[in-house]
Amino acid sequence: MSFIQVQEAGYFYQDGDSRRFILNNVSCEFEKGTFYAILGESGSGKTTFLSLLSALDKPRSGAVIYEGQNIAAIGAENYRRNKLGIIFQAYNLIPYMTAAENVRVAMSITDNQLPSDPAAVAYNLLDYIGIGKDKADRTVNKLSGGEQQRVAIARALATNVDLILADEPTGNLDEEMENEIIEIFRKLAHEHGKCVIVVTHSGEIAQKADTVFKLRKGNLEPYERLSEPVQQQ
Amino acid sequence: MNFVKRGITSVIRKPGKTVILLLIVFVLGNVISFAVSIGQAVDNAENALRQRVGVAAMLEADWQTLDEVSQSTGEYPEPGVLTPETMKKIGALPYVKDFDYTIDFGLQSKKLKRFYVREENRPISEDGLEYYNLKGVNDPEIVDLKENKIKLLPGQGRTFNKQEMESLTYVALVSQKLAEINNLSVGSKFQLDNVIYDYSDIEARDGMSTSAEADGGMKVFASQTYEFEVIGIFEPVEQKKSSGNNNGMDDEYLTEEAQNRIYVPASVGEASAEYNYEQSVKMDPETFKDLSKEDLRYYQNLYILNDSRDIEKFREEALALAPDYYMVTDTAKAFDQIAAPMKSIQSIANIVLIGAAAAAIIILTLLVTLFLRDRRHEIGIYLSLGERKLKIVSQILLEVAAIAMVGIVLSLFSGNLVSGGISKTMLNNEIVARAEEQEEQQSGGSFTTYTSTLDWMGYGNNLSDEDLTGAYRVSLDLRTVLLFFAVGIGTVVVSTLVPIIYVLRLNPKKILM
Repeated sequence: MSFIQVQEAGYFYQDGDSRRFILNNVSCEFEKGTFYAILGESGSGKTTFLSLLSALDKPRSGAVIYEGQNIAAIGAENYRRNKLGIIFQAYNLIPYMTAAENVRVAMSITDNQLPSDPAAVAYNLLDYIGIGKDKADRTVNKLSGGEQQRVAIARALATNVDLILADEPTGNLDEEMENEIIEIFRKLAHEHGKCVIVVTHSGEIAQKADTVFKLRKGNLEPYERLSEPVQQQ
Repeated sequence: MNFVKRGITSVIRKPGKTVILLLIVFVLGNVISFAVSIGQAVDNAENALRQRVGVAAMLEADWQTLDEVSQSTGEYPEPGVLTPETMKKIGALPYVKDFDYTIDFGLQSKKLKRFYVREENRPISEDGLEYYNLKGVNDPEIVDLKENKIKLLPGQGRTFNKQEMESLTYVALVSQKLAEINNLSVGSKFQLDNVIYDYSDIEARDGMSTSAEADGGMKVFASQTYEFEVIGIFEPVEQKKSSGNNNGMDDEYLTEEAQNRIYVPASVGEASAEYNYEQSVKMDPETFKDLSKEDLRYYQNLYILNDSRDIEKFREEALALAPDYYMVTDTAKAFDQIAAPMKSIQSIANIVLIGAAAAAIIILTLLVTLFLRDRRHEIGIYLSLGERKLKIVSQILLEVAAIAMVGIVLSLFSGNLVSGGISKTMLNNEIVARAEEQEEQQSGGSFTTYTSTLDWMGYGNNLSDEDLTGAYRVSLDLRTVLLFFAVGIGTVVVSTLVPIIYVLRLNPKKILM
C-alpha cells in the first residue's frame, strides 16, 4: 500500500456552461523517505494538484488516498491538522508573531502527540533548520526571506507529520538560499523518512529530487532527467 | 499558543487597532451607559416614590355612565348596593395590601369646639352648634394610621381593641388640635349629639331648605347624646399643598377636615345610623316605608394596593365582584402626573439607548469586518493548518470582547457620571416646563389638584417636585451595572455575527495559493 495515492483525480473550473479542465484524471503514488518534485509551467495545474494533496480543495472526480484512507473520509480539516505540513511560496507566517510563536501555533492546533515543552521543541526545530535563539524570538517580518521560509519549514515539521508539501518554496529566494532549502528537504526525506512533495518550476529542485513528475496540459507524466539526482553532501 | 494566547498576542501586538476599537466602544458605551443610567435612575425613583405614596383605590357609583344610560333609555338605573360582604371579597383580592370599609356619619355638639385654621372661618351660628365627621372603622389598626396619613402621638393612647370593636363601645381617637382646644387627653370624655330634625315641617312651611344650618329655628324631632372616651390622640400627616389659585381655601378645608375628624369603631356608626332610621321612619313613614336601616348606612371603601402596577388587574377583578354601574377610582393617575417629567426623560433615554445600541451594532460590525479583512491572510493560515473554525471564531470574539470589556467598564463609570449631571438638568427643565404649562392652563379660572374623593380623604398625590428631584438619583447599583453589561456585551456579540459569517466563508486556498 502506497503512502499517498492519487486515483484518477480530475479538476476543472466551471465557467458558465463551459468547463476549463486543469487536471485530467491524474493518477500517481508517493512513498515515505522520498523527495518528489512536480515540475510544470505556469498554469499547468501544479498548485491545484498540491491543493488536492493538501485537502485545501477537493477533486471533482477521483480521490486522494492517505495510507489507504480517502482524505474526504478523514475530513479535510482533520487531515490538514494531523497528517501534513505545508510550505508556501509566500511563507504565510503570522507577521506579528515571533518565529518561535509561529511554530508553536501549528503545535497548538494539531491533535498529534507532541513533547510536553512546546517552547523547547520550537527552539530546537528552528535551530535544526538554521534559526538561532536570537532570531527565533524576533517577529517574523524582521527576518529575511530565506529565514522566513526556514521558519515555515520548521512550522510544517512541528506537528510531527510524515507528509511535507511545498508550493514553490524557493520561488522568492536567491540561488544560495534555494540550495540550502533543497538540502533541508532532502534531509527530511532521507534522514527522517518524510514524504516531501514539492511543486516547482525550478530545474535545480528537479535535479536534486529523487523522483520528478511533470504536469503538462492537465496530465502528470514521469520526467526524464538528463543526469542522476545529486547525492546528499 | 492556543486561541486564547493568540487572541491576547494579537490585542497586545496590534495596539493601533486595539486603541481604535477601544475608543469607539468607549464613546458608544458612554452613550449607552448614559441612557441605561437614566432609565435605572427613573425606575429606582419611581419604585421609591410609589412605595412611599402607595396606591389607593375605591369603588364609587359611576354617575357619568348612569347619566348616559338614563339619557339613552329614558330611565335612571339603580346602581345597586355595595355591601360589606362584597367589599370584604374585594379586599381579599391578592393585589390588596390593606383595606377598610368605614361607616362615615355626622354628629353635632354645642360644647365641643371645632378647630379652624383661621378664626374667621368659624361660621356664625346662633345656637353655637358645631358639626363633626366621624369615621367608624372596621379595621381596629386604622388604615389611615398604617398608611401614615395620621400619626398616633407617642404616649398618647392607642387604637381600638377587640372588645371595643365587637361590642358597642363609645371610644374615640381625636386630633391633637381638637384635643388642645377642648382640653382633652387620653381618658377624657366628650359628648356628641345625634339630632333628627323634622324637615317635613320646614318643607311644609316654605318648601325650600332642609338644612338645619340654614334655619336655626328648625324643630328637633328626636335626639340622642353619646359620651365618648378619648383613647388616643393623633396628628394628621401634612398633605401636599394644592396647586390651585383659590388662595389655599382647599388646603384650609382639608386641614380642618383632618383635624376635626374623629375615629370611632364601626359599631358606633351603625348604632347611630340605626337610630336615625328608626326616628326617620317615625317622623316620615311614607318616605321611609321602602327603605331598610342598611340603606341609611353610608360606607366608604378604601383599598391600598401592594403595587401600583396591579391597578388594572385590581380594577378588572373588583368590578367583576361589584354591582353594576360602579367604577374604580385610584391615585395611580395622580402619581403619573407628578412623575411625568421623569417619564419624559426616561422616554428620551430609551430612544437614545435604542439609537446608540443600533449605531454601536452597525459601527462595530463594520469596524470588526474591516479589521478581519485585514487579517484574512492570518485566518487563511490558521485554516491551512487545520484549525477548527469554531476556535478561530472564538479567538475573534475573545479579542473583540476583551477590548470591548475594557471600553465598557471605563464607559460605565464615565457615562454614569455624565448622565448624573445632564439628566438632573433635564429633569429640572422638564419640571419648569410642566409648571409653566399648568400655569397657562389654570390662568383661565380656579383650579385645584384635589379632584377625587380619594384626594379629599387624604390619599391623593402627596408628592412635590422636590420629592421627585430628591428621589431621582443616578447611581451605580447592581441592576444598572448588570443591565449595562447585558446591553453592552449583547451589542458586541451581535456586532461580531456578520464578521463571523465572513470568517466561516473564507477559503484558505484562495487566500494563500
